[in-house]
Amino acid sequence: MALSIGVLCACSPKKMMLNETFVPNAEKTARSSIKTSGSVGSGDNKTVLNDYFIQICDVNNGIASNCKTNLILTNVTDYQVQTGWSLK
Amino acid sequence: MKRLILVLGLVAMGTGCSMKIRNVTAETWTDQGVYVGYWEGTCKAFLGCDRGAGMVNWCKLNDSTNELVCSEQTAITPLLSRKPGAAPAPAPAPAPAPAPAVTKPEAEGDAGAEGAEGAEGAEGAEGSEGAEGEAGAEGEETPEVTKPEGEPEEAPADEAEPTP
Repeated sequence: MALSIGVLCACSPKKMMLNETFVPNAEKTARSSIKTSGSVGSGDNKTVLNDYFIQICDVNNGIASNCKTNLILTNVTDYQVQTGWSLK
Repeated sequence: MKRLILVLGLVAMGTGCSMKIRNVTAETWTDQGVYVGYWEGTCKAFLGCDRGAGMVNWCKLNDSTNELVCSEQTAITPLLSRKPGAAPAPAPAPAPAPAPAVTKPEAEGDAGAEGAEGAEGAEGAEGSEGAEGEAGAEGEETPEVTKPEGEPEEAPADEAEPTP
């Protein structure tokens, strides 16, 4: 049981979506996300490092396709989550 | 001898192991690509992180492949720098902001492996993006990123350089 829980925890997803928006004047959507890539330091000084991705997908009738995930920045330690509604 | 070793050790610790860390502060879309604003600082072992500077990447969108090719907007970087000497006095030529993408510094590694994903946690809800798209106000934010081209350097510096 404990082993199962440990395995589940170890495999928990570490990629987190930050925001999603439509690309202006295009039938595309863009999703920003971060994924833990490592850490530096230890104890109270431990800093988690993340990769910052933007995924672009074509959108037709609400269905996303032709998705491409692009690595934009590495060693990201902090980020801003944007909220709000797009006009489209 | 011990003192020499100690000094050399301190110098090595202070200068040898350094790494850049980044704080993403803004992301603004146009119909041709996206501006990504971030603070970038350098951290050294036992010496901590410097104050760093704000930077902006322009990532041009390839319409057919949905690939983003990023390049640093070097014209904006001096405006966001805290160093007094780095601030240019005259406004740069009013070049259009979307410069042609030249390099793709870091996108090669993971992008290929994740290009056709859809099973990962962050991308799971493929069908729901139409109703739940957020991060609106993108249109209103565009001028904020393009402003530094012709603006005084003091205003954007504080906004784009949060203390980590």
